[in-house]
Amino acid sequence: MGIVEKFMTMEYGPAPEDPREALAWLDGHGRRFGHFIHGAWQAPAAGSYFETTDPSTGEKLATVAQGSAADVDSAVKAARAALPAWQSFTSHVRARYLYALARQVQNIRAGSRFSKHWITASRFVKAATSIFRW
Amino acid sequence: MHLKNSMTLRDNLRIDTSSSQAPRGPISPSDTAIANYAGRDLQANRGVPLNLDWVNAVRVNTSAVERRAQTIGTRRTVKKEWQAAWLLRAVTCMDLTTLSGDDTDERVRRLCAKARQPIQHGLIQKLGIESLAIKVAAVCVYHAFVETARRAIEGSGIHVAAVSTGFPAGLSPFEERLAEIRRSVEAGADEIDVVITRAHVFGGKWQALYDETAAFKNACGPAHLKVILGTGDLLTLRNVARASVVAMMAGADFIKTSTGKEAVNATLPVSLVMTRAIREYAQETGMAVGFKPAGGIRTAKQSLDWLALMKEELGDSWLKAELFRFGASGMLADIERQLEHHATGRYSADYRHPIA
Repeated sequence: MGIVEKFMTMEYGPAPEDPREALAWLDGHGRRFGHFIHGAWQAPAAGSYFETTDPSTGEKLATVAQGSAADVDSAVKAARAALPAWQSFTSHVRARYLYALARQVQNIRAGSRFSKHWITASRFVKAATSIFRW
Repeated sequence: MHLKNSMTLRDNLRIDTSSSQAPRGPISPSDTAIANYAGRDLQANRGVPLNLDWVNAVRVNTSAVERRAQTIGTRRTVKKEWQAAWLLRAVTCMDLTTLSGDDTDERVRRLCAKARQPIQHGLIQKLGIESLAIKVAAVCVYHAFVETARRAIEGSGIHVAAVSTGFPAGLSPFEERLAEIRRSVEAGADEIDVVITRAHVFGGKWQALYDETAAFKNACGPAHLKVILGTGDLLTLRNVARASVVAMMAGADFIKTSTGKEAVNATLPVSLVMTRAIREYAQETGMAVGFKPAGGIRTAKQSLDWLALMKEELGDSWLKAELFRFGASGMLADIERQLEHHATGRYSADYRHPIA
């Protein structure tokens, strides 16, 4: 049994920075990402994409949608439409959603130190969580 | 093993004779090794004559100590099954302690029951670790409860530790402190935690500290001696390092940070200084002294930090109850919670894991 053996050896075990899980997740999405607007993945209005790379190797990680003014407009519109429902929640319920969101990003981030875009995203959610908690 | 950011206990290097000479102290070759450091077998500590040159040469680089201590918990992590294994190891190194004015026989008996079975039975089965027969290292009580504890842990292999010598101040008359040790050993304690006279350290009266500790050791007879330095009271890391060295020279089996009653108890910088002192003593004399941080260690995460400290600074020999103890009780509840999370994926409330 695993734990018994590890109790005897007291090794550190593998570091959590192993990228395999994150890469599998990217593969699960076909390594191509649109914009997540109104609860669904959407192709960008202008139809343009860019590639994001692993800064340590220069290898391509995924193709990501390039946003435009039209995408921002549709995102803001969707957010406006969702606002009354969101506002009707108590702060505790809102905090639960945001905390769950932050936790998910944190989990992904543990395996994706290599992607600068993930880091940016998780910092944003972290900041958002600390704001909305109040 | 030299690590970056390492501190030196002495800035001015004294001429190192340890490699060319036989180790100091009365060691016969037939002695069994209790530890291994850097490929060298180490014997149990029997003490050496007080060496004031050594004591006075001890220096501590505080900034370097703080810097190194800060990264002990961050440079390596243990996760998943490894984390569960480390937490179980922490449990086996615990001195389950109750030292309050309102202690009763009943509470001590409950504590002993917890000591025999520190992890809930169902959890042991879920983790598949029945074969490890996890139990804590010792129960630590006041003299008045030594007999109660001795009876309650009979046959379990758990040690009974008594705090002694006017704990926690250590300022009762000298003869009485010695008599206290003898009485506790007679009552069935096989480990004695004593407190030093902190004033000896402030005054630099190393001979007095040495004589006092050696007398305690003598009074212990076959029982193991743990010397509490009261590091929160000693104020400087240099005092901590020098008191550590003197206590080890006088024959301490363990050096222990604090009583748990000071304003500041076990911290990583203080622990780092004490483990480096243990290392230097082992290198110079070929004898191994144990380490016991006490007070202020409450979470499972902290227990991992201290295990990492021992592994990094002294090696795997110091990850066992013979040479490493936690003076903490509340920590056990958090460790149980973490193990339950490992087994079930959910956290339970801490009131589901009472200690005693």
